[in-house]
Amino acid sequence: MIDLNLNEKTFKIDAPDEMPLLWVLRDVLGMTGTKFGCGVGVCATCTILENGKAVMACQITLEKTKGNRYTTIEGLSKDGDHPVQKAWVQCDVAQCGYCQPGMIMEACSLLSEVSSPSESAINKAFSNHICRCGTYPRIKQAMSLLVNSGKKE
Amino acid sequence: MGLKPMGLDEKAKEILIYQPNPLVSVQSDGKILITVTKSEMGQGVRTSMPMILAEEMGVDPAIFILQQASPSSKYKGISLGTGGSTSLKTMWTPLRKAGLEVKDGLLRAAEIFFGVNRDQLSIRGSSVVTKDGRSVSFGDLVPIAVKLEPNKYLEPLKKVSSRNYLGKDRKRVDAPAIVNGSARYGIDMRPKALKFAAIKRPPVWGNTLKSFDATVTLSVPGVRRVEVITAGVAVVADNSYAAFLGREKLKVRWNSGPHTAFDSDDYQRQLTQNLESPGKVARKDGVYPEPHNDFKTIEATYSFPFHAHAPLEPMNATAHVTQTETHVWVGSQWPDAIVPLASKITSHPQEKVNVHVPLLGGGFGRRSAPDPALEVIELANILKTPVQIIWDRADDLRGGYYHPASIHGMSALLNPSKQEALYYSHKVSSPSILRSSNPKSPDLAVVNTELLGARDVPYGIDAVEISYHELPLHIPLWWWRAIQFVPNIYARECFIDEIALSLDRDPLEYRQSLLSKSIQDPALLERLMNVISIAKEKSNWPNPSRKNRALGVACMDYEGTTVVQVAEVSVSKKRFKIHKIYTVIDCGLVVNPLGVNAQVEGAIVWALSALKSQIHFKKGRVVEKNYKEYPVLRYSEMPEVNTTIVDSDRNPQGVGEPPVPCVIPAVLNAIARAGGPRYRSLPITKR
Ligand code: FES
Ligand code: FES
Repeated sequence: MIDLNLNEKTFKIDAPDEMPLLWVLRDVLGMTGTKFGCGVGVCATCTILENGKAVMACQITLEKTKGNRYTTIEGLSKDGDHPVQKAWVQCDVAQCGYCQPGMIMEACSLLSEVSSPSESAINKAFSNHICRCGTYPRIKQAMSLLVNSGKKE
Repeated sequence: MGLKPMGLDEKAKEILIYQPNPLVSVQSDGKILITVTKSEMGQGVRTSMPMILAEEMGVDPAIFILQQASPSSKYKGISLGTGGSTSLKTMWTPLRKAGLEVKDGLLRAAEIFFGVNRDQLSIRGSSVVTKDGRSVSFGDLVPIAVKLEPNKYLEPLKKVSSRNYLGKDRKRVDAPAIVNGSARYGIDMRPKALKFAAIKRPPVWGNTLKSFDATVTLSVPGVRRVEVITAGVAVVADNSYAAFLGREKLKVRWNSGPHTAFDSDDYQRQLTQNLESPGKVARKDGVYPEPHNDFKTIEATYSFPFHAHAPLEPMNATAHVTQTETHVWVGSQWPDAIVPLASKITSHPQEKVNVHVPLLGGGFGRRSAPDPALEVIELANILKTPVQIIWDRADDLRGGYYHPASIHGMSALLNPSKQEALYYSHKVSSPSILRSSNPKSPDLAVVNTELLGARDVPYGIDAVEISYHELPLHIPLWWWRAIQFVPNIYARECFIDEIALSLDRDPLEYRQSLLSKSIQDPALLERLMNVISIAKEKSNWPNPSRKNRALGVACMDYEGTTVVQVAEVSVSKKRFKIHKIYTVIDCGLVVNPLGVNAQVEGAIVWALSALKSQIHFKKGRVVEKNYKEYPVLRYSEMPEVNTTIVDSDRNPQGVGEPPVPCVIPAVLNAIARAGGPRYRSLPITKR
């Protein structure tokens, strides 16, 4: 039994230590907002926040979650009104949408580190992520919207 | 039309439903339900299709509640099949008709309700109002509307100029659910008591199961059962992790099938030799000119590799088979096709087979094959409890359905002194996708499909010869975003540049002059000339925006959608960078410009990904197992996109696939013009 600190709640998880957090979320807890794309850390579809920083849920075993705080797309905001979510809707970023929870969590992580990241920092942050539908140009737009509004504040 | 009891709550009020058309129903509680008959895989049908209906009905599409269609006889004549960029093309008229029918019914009911004539009535919000200021909601009109005779005549469809929604940017209806994680894809289906299964599949297509030992597998915590199905050995567990782990521990032996020696490099060499086979001549215009000392022949061979679809959501399907009913939840592009096949597996009559279609995490053609649904139904039929079969990425890349390799033999006879081409020939050597899915496909259909984009070369050259050289292959081939247009247009449009270069002509102007001499469909030629001249202006052809860069062009008509693309690249020491892709597209009437732009962006990414990757077979096995070996375009590689959508009042045409094929030749032509090599073989591994 492991205590998992997730979206500001504690969940008691009865699962093998080696189970990747991705499957704990999706199959044990039934929180399907975090998606599976490759399982080996090359697509970043499964990105969530660990203590506020982007990590790939398929690369973290349940055992390694001890003492950490996790946030998934479901825990980002109550009403979908996190600035990143709003920018994503405003720029109509999604196509199929499957990669987008991971993209959004990545953006949150980056913007919490630096409020106006440079283009190369943005490139680097999203370089792990795959979008097979091709939403990259709109992610770029959404990021520049967020960076500009960050600058105004 | 019908009654639907609402349940046993205190009001116990019955909801009346006015449904003049299977696509739309208005309820007495005021809800308007729209049935979406195409699968949503990112192309935006759940946003664009209701816009068309709303426009004719005279309401804001935001008031609709969307429901996804399941296969049913009530949609007579409307296929739920989603692919080939045909959704809006085929649904345009049915949706407009549905909008007019429901509007007409509501207005006729309002005439009775107010006792006034139609000219006194208009629609505002979700009500009908009279000129003297009275108002009644749609819901309150339903009890009258359900008693009306079906419409006898309809007002003519709306003129372009008076449109409120069509042609205006509309954001994706599913966006709020996507950004908060509540959007549900096939892989997210969670019926109660769900088990998860992974399949150990034969490593080579066509190998069969000899024996297996599941002792260790069954000792993995969470593993519940091991069952044999047609696709392989299924490990059923409490969660995906246990299913995958249990599968890893299975000991399986296979009987060799017919493909254990299959090698894709060898096969591509055979395809090249196969260009010399007689082939089927599909088009022969004019006569090969008499030889002349001044004439010059140029020849080139282009090759295109095998590809997989690799949508980001791996294949999966969920099913529950009870004694009397079959339920399957699957992100399918062709749910209709599943029903009869499922009915054979479970012996339930087709009306008892329910195919539920959630969102698709990308389709690209792969999800029109029924295999994920059928294997889970087979397993659920054994288990009689709900189960999801989940494919990992290796299953997805290795478990079948590929876009086939092809080789293109191009040749032309030129008269350099007159700067003109006298003869053009394109030979396509490939296995047939059509024959792979249906061995009985007639030759004519096979040839026409395999030569899409090759046979219909629009240029005015006196002698043209196009032929198809089939080389049978029995591994599973399937439709892939933009299908055979991709390899055929790549070869055609690159070779046209090679001709232009040999004749010392500007490739864009050369295309214009060839089109001006063409005797093909004048409307098509006019569209091509129009998009080319817009692209010329937009891209400032032939001048790139910076000194060390070059522009390359390609154009085509994709079954009614006319596209030209110009790529701007730079080359240094054998490396190249793609800076910008200009697209000019005429796709008929534009329903949702925001959606068209997204499709163009997606098409560019699809095409540029294909420049980077391929599927190999060695000893019958697929070599690639994840995105590491089958790379796709990444964020930092994305060129700038500049898209122009041409105004048109032709009916809507396709838009998901048409902007794919020209990207590759435009880029390769630009690389050659920038002083880089002339690439005739894909993928390009050095960049
Ligand atoms: S699923 Fe975790 S990185 Fe791909
Ligand atoms: S929106 Fe479909 S994978 Fe990114």
